[in-house]
Amino acid sequence: MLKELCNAGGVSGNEKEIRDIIINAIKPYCDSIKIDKLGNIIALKKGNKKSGTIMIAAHMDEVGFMIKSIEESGSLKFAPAGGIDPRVMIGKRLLVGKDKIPGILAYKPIHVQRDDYKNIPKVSDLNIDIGAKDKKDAEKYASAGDYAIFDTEFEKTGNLLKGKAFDDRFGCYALIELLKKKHDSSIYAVFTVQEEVGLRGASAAAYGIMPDYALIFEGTSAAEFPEKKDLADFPKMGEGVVITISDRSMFSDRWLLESAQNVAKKNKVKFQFKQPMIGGTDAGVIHTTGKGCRSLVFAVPCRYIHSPVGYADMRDLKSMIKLGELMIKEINKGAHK
Amino acid sequence: MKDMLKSFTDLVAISGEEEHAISLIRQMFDSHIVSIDVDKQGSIVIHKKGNKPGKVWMSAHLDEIGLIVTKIDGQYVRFTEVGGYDEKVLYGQEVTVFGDREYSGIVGAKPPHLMTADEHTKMLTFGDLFIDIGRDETFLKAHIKVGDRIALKNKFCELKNGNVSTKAMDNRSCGVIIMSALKGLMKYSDLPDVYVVLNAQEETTFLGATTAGYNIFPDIAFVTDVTFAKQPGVAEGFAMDEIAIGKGAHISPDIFEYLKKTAETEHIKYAIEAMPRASGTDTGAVQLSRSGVSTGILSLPIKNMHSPVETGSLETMKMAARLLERAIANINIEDFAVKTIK
Repeated sequence: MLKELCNAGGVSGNEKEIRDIIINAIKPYCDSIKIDKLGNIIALKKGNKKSGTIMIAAHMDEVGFMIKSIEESGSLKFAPAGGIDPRVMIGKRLLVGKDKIPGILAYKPIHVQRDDYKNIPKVSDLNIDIGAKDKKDAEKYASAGDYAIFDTEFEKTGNLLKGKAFDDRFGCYALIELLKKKHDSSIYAVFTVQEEVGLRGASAAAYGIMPDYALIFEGTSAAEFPEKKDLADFPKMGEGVVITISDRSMFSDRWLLESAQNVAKKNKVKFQFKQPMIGGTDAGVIHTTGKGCRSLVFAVPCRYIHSPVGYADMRDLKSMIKLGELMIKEINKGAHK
Repeated sequence: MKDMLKSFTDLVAISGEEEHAISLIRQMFDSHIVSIDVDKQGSIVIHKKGNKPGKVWMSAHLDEIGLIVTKIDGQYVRFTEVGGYDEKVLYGQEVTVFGDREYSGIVGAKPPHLMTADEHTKMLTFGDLFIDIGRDETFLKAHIKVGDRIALKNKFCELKNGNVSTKAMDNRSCGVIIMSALKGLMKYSDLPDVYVVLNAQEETTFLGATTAGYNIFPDIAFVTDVTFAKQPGVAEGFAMDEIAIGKGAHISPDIFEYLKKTAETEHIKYAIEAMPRASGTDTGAVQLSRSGVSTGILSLPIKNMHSPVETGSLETMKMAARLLERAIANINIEDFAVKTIK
């Protein structure tokens, strides 16, 4: 399942492929499933106990590219969808369009770069080459508006996971696993669109649900790199689920934050913190919806997110699912009231 | 269509002060057939009641970029922009200052003879420019105040091949397109409710679309705006005789496909405009109204955007109006509704 989720395409604004996979996976475990106007999946699993409206959310979309135009030479001009460092683009293989035709993200060779060698190329200087002879030939295979993703195969070696789109297919996987479990209260599981282009899907989905509590499941940057010895070096891969205290989009709810740490300790779930005030997630718009709701973000630390390929640890993903399940129970107890 | 475009572009409605537009709009429609209202933010909503369920929205922003008084500086008026003006086009323009009445003025700068060598090669920015209305400080202080809007003087100009050039083609050209489409829809008997929304304050904050979108909460929204035409320096622009259909995050994939199919059926020349992230238009704001709206966008390619000589094609405008008319006449609201899987 995890492999299927990570290998699937789903660039922000074009989430159909990943959405269909998720719908198939959750169908047996939900009481109702809707696709809203933006393309979010809103699934309801009913429970017996009343404990306020609980929303769990993960975003389906990944960073990728869109074809803008085709050059006379047959090479494709493109624009990124979501934040991708142009330095990581060069020399990578892509899959272009619905039929996933292979393409190369190319820049001129080192020999002819001359004065440009020391400059970071602009996206407008890069091209996608699908091997077309000329514009007319290329138009047979690709069109302006087509999406492209990195061509990266998921692999698992022991607990080490390698692949693309860990941000946020890990969250999607966690939601699917949580839907399989029995819970006392009703749960809205929302697989959102367009997180990477401005937390857009979550805004509409949360308005439709008006949750009292929101738990957001994410992939986040691991920060254990050689050049950062003098700086904060957490979270680390393999050190457990990451709990967000604060990021650029929100402060986590105090009660949820403390409860999460308490239940994690009590149940021996390994956890660590995210570096405060960095990044942002769907929680940023969910917690301000309507009269507001209590929200908390969990994440799996991943190395090299927003790049063609990253690493993560399966045990952290398991910890995230475990803590998610425990927190749903904790909310049911309503201890904060 | 040409006369409508001329009167609509001659109108001055700079972001935040769009209220002058209403009397002109009222003249364009029969109040027995449509209702015309102005909302709190200054957006104008023309509503034609339908006889089948559903609400379809067409919008274009009403406001235009302009200038605003920041200081009375002796016998001169200092100013800055409302929306993104290219400072390079301002020097030497004739303007109208909307004080207690309209005053004509000229945008001046220190004459070249008095500039130092360094100043000669420097771009003139708002700090270097001022408006001279040929009056003294006492007069200025009595009749003009900080916050008054300033518009560049404008002359509607017909170029060859049905191309026209004037100020505020961004976005009055699209206002004309959607009002023409509404007029075209009058002949159909089986329609959902149609709202033509002329949004205030797009150029500054997308305010009008945000609040009108919440208020009306349409099932489907077609947004129209201008885009870049091919011109020297804009190699990736669109041909002026084609309509750009937008695709990307702010657009529902189903609506994109529907507009494309309608254009093909109607033999309307179109191109696909890639908008992977923000579309830079009202589309994103309407799409996120309440629990979400299905959206599409059509763009008219123009040259010289955000200058007083914005240039576009009347024929393409007519095509765009026909495309919207046909798209709305044939639309099945249910095709774009929330989908229940289980």
